[in-house]
Amino acid sequence: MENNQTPRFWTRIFKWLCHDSLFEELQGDLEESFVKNTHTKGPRKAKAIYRKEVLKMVRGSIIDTKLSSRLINCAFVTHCFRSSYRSLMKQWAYSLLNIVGFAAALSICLFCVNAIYSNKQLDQKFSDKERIYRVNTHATLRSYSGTWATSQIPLYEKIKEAIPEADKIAIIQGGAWAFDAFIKGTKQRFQLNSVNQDFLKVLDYDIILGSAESIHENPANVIITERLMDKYFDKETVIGSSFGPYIVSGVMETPNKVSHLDFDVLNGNVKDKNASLFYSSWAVYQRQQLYIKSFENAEPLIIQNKLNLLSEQINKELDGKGNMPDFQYILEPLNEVASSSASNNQGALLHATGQKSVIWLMLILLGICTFNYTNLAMSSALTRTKEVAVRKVMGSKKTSLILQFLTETILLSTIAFGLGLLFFKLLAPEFSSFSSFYFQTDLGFEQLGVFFLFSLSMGLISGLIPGLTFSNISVLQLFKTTKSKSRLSLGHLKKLMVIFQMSVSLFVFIFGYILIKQSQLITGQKTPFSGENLIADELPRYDSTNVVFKNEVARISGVKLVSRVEPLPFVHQMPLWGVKKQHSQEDHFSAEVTSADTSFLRLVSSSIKWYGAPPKEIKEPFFLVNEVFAKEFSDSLMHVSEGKYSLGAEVYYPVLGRLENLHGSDQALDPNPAAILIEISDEPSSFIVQLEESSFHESIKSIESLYHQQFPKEAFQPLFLDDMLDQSLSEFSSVIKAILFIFSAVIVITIMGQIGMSMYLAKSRQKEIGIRKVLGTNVQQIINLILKSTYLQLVVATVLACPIAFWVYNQAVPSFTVQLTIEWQHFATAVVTFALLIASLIIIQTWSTSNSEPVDSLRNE
Amino acid sequence: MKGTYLGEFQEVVLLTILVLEGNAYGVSIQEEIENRTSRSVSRGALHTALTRLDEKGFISSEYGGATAERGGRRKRFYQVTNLGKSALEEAKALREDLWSSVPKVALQKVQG
Repeated sequence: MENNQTPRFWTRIFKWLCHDSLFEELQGDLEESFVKNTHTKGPRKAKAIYRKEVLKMVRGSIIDTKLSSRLINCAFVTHCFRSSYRSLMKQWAYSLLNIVGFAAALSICLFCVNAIYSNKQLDQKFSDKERIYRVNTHATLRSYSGTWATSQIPLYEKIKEAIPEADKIAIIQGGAWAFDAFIKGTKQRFQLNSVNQDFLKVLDYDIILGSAESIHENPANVIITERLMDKYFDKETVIGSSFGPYIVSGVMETPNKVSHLDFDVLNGNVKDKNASLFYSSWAVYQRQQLYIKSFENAEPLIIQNKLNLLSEQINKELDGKGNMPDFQYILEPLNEVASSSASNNQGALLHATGQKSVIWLMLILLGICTFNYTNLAMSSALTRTKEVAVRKVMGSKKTSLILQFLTETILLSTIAFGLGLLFFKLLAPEFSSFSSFYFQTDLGFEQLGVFFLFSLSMGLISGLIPGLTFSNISVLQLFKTTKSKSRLSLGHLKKLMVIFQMSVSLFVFIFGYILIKQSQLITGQKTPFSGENLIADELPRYDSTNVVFKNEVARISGVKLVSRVEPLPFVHQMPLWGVKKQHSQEDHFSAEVTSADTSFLRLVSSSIKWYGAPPKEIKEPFFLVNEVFAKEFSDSLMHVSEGKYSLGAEVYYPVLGRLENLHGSDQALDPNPAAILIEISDEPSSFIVQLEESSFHESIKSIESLYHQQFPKEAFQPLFLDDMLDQSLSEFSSVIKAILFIFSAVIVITIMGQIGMSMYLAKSRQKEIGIRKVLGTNVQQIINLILKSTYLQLVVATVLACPIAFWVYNQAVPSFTVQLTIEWQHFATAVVTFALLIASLIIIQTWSTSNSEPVDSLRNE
Repeated sequence: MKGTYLGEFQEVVLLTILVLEGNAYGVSIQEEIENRTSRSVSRGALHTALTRLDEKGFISSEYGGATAERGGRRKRFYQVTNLGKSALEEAKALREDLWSSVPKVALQKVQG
């Protein structure tokens, strides 16, 4: 009879879907047929027929009434939703705080994830992208080492010879060349980049108008980006339009939206090995980016090995020629370039370190909002112990209780997810439009899925904890007013979580406060070149005309002094030199060095700290150095001021003084040894003019007319050094702004959590407050009573957060040019502000509760 | 009209119940139809037709005794009601009327 047994699984399914009143007849028929089929067609065939029959039973006349009644009359589910809605509305303030706080955190995380995702989308459009690599330069010079996205101009020829696996070699040069153009009635300055013929073949950007080849046909032709065309030209007439000294011959898509590069104007006049000594020097590796597109079957490992050999060969050739760094050329695949941490990497929104910090911030944010959410859910659950007890007495099952809590929290987290998504959708286009980088405003299914699952799991966790706890506690326990102290109760767990959340919030608060202080120090820094009455300019020629011009400027009545400074600070990068000590030939160092004439000493006189007596007459060149230089170049044998130093040739100069607040090219990060070489020679290519404040505008006009007399073809464009400093710090400021924005969001979310908790505190002790008031306690005493528990939490949070913030700040934050010395006052200010904030929130809540009529709160008892 | 309309399959089911006389229950009706029409009929489809016929009042049913091969479950026997019989006769009359109205020429098969 074993064979006559119908397949159990399918029978169960049928029983589940079939209406009870029909089951006996239909199952009987199915079974009778099954037995007959087993005898006539065999058990296998019979089972197959049975399965088919069961599947064909899925029709309205059989299941309709049963399932629909199950769904519609499922009082359990509808009841769950109804009571969830009721309790959410009853505690609408908690619910609102929960939802908005969680939604805000989710939307910020969505922004962060999308920023990282957008970064990963860069460079994906190029054909054969998997065969394209950039050659990075790793330069090592004793104390200094760093990786650059750029390489030397002569490297192109070397790679062409040494690496036959390279199908095409693309180069883009720039960083220093600019031109002026009169457009729409105003004079504008534009950066110019030069590319070789392979560039637009390797990185095949879309050419919207004209042709890519046109820039190589005529040196006056340029290709501009769509962004530039939309801003300054008409689409119909752009081709052939004059653009400063150039003619527009093509329009291409805006590169920073699709790739890691960012430029606006391209021409074909690349500088090669025949360029001026400066550009074709092996010491200059910041002007050119080089890309290799390998042949289809070429192994990247073989190319890298050949590059290593080439590096060795170049280092050998350069050995003994001045004080050159050791170069190592590194192949970087195109898909990793956008997040490369190499210096001079353009266009990428988030490089590797940036991505890591964003991920950390996101984790902190999600951690805080998880704690907030769970805390609030638990608090609201704790206020319902009696409700749970009544339900248990009425016969509610364990599962129904858990489901009740789960429905509530999942409902909240789903609403929060929707709201977070709405915030993102509303703000993303705004963010994308003001960000100069590519930021994708659409969310992928994967991202949405991950965030939905996250919010769902948050709902699950925060519902399961109180649900499970309550369902396992006996009814009598729930009615008890005194809680057991021995076991880990929901109340204890909640307290622990509150302390943890408060510690994390305080950590963010302290960290943010220190970061603000640090960024204030940097943005408000005074350099030797600070002052509203300082202007600078570059001169177009390198001959005696410049000397004449400088002397003429010095004669203008409102001019205090004119000083030659090359290159200009904040405008160009200070060149990195290998510096040799005279007394210790083995020791080589690197430093950023600018040269200036003797009148420079008067310009910065207040910032110079002379090591000895100031020189009365200057007969030989000497250095003024910064603090880092002085520290690095002093050794056990002698102080920096006692030695003499050379920039490569066998001519040594002394260090006579220290120039305060002199930094390298980067005004914010990584302070480098920097020096100014005071020379007697007087052929300026750029100069700084100090003007009398009273006749500032007249003097500028006079200089301008003088400039036009000497250089009639050139435009006079004075640079205000204060503005240039601000500009050079703009990238740093925007990074700080972004970090502070996330920090503020974290703090706002934290405060929302704290508001929720203080509301809970005040509400849960409403009756106690009522009784105390009746017994004659005043408001102040009540507030003190409520605050007592918060004091302890704050003390624990301070003990935990302060050392962690100190440690993390020292470990994670890079060294700045103007370093903040963290003192106990910083911690004290942050902690006191935070404590005041929390206390005031609690006071406000308690105030309103303690001022309410005690009769109202006690009426129910 | 919807209430008394007799579909083709419903008509077949009604006639089969009459054919089977007192032994018309799910399995026997299904087998009889399959044997006579050489069409496979699922029990689900037959149930739908029986439900519709029952709703229209063309059939009535009652439970019989339990049998071992049905796992101890009872059979449900169907009978055609007078209303069902009238509906069958009406359908037959309509068909006959139509058949008689068809010109003989129209029934001649076209050669070639």
